[in-house]
Amino acid sequence: MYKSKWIVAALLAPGLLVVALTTTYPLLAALYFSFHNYKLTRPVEWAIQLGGDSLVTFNSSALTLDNYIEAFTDDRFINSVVVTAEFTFISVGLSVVIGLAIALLLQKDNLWSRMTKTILILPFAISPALKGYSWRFMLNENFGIFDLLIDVFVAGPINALISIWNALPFGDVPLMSTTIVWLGDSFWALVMLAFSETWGWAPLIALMFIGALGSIDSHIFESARIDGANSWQIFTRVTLPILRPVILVIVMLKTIFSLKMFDQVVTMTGGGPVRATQTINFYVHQVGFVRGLEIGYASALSYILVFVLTILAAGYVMYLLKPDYSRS
Amino acid sequence: MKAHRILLVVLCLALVLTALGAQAQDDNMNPATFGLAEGKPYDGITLKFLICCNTAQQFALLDKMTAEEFTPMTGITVEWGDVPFGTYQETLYLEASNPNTEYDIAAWVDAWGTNVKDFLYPLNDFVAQYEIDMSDYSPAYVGASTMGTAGTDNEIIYGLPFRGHPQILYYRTDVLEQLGMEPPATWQDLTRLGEAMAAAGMEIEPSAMYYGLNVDQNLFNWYSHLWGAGTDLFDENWEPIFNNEIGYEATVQYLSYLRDGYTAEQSTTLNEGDAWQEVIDGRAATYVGWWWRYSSMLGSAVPEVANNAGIAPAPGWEGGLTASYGYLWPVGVFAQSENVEASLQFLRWLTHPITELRSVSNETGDPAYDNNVAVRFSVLRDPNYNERFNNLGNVAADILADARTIPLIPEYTEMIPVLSEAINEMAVDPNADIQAVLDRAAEDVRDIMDSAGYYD
Repeated sequence: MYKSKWIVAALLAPGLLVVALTTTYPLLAALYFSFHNYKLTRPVEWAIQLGGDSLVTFNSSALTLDNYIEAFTDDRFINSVVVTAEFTFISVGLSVVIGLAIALLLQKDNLWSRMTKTILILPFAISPALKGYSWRFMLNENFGIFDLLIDVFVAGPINALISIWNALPFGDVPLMSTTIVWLGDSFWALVMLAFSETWGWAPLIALMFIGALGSIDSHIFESARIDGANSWQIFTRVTLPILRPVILVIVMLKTIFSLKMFDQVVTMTGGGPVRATQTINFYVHQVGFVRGLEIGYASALSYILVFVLTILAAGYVMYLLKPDYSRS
Repeated sequence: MKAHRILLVVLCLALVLTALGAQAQDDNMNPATFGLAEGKPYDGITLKFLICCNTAQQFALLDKMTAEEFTPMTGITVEWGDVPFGTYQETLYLEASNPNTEYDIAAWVDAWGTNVKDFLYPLNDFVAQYEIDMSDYSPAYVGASTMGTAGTDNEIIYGLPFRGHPQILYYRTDVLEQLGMEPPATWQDLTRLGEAMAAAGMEIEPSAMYYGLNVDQNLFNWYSHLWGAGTDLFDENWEPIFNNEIGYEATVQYLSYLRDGYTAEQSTTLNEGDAWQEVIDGRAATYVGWWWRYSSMLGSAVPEVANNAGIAPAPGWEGGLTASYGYLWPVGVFAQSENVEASLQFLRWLTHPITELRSVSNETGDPAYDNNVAVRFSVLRDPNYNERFNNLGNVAADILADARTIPLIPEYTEMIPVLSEAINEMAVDPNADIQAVLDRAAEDVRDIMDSAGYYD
């Protein structure tokens, strides 16, 4: 037993060392930085100093809570929190709803369904940065395919209906604009950013739901039908309750990813217009590496995000580890 | 028989001349030509050059020339970095502040210079030793490469101009000819061009502007308006003045192209590259931007664009000045390098007028290395250069004589988002109160300066 413990430790050691160097050390270093007024280009008084009279000196007066205090009075950070919350709400909601809708459509096993399921994974396989560039082009007013599709299939029919309505003596409704600059409007820029995220995630979520739907015993649906339930009642009173644990896991997972949104903001909107799409991670990057080089402050902002993510991740893990997970 | 003899003599002469020419070229490649140390004292040393984007033809060609010419002359090997531009700023900062950096030499964007200058080796003695004529560079470029007051003891040269771009007005000659107008010499002329194009019912945009958020690109032309109108970002006491009466007037003019419909509505989201696409796709008649885009206008797939490519200096202010932003990448040596002397040898060769001229001449003949990027007036005014690039060098030299640089203070990078967002806000909202937005931006900038101790 004693020997086997040492063998286990020896086998784990390389992996643990890699994790310690690539994850634990940066996390601890960032935590340490977050309590200092550390600007990359200026000298800083560190709390822990190596060398000198003694091997390690600890100077508690060098530690400061300034960065954390500043965060809650920084209107740019507060804006980024609000933007991230809005983005998370829209993107999680859309991804789950559309993912579930796709899953229900592809539930039946046939050739078309199998082919579609294979293709579905492609949007998720595209890198987020590239997704941002693609959407930027696709929303371009001059040559963007999405802009054209919206004009033809959304604005076109709506304006046709409005025109018919306006032909009536009392009709006076303005036509829908076909020249909206999608990424130049605060509301639409955020919505389009969320759409781009949904475009990538909804198919993956659909595949997760397809797996979950496939695991439901078909006798349950048959019983419901025998008892006189219609399709809507089966969906709302049978399917959704059974899927509830899967939905919760997906919502938690997607929320964690949405809160970390960064790449698409950089390549699609640049945080604009003005500050309308500046998410927390985008703002942290601006603070740390683009504008003030304020590594201490950027670390503190990151830790605030880490705190929120840790709570979510803990909930996610605890839920997964619940012994009655499959029956809840 | 006589003809054969003449032919033989001509062939011999040709051989001799070729040999002499080759010898002359070899002479150019001697260390003495560049003032480098004789006898290869740094033989075997490998230097690491922190630089981005080898896709830039200038960098690619100089990288090749380094291996083929500099290394055989000196025995010093130089490894050119190829850091993507998107991550270059943070890489530069991290390497500069790292006492154990493996890099010896670095190039940087002017605005980032103040954040790395403390980690760079001062070049005052180097410039004096080689009698480098700093007046051969634009004042804007010299300003971006030095700190402190020019001509005084506290002037520190920490970089040498390496890659620079003046602002050029690109225009469609066919459009102007049709209207019987000259290229806009002032911003007010650009408005008149817009009016004339609207009156003539022309469908293409008079100008492709870029008010979108992309670091600081929507500030470039705003600076030209401010400086031309006679104001600046700060007064001599570092108080923001861009919101004064002149600054307001300049900003109104800058936004007028959008508000009056002389540029596309979506210019509120465009960056410099996106706006340029409007020109080369034939949707815009004019554009003010960096000079290195000229070749892509000449090579546009739209014949009306490629056959009617015109260039002129960036517009000035009517009754005021013509002053645009001269954008520079200086190059310098990290103070913590263990190979400072060898690095200085490389710096001398890299920034030597002969190297610069040969770089734009592209003696390789390979179009992949074609580039027009020169920073010295003497190279820009070179007749061969101007013949090769359709007088682009002379236009650039004229612009650079009056060009300016951005405030070289560490706080500038903090100000950029404030100013850039203010411009974007005024562009996005057609009803935005320009004076109010400028005042708010000035207040934010003042706070940044105040917290940095400028008013203590």
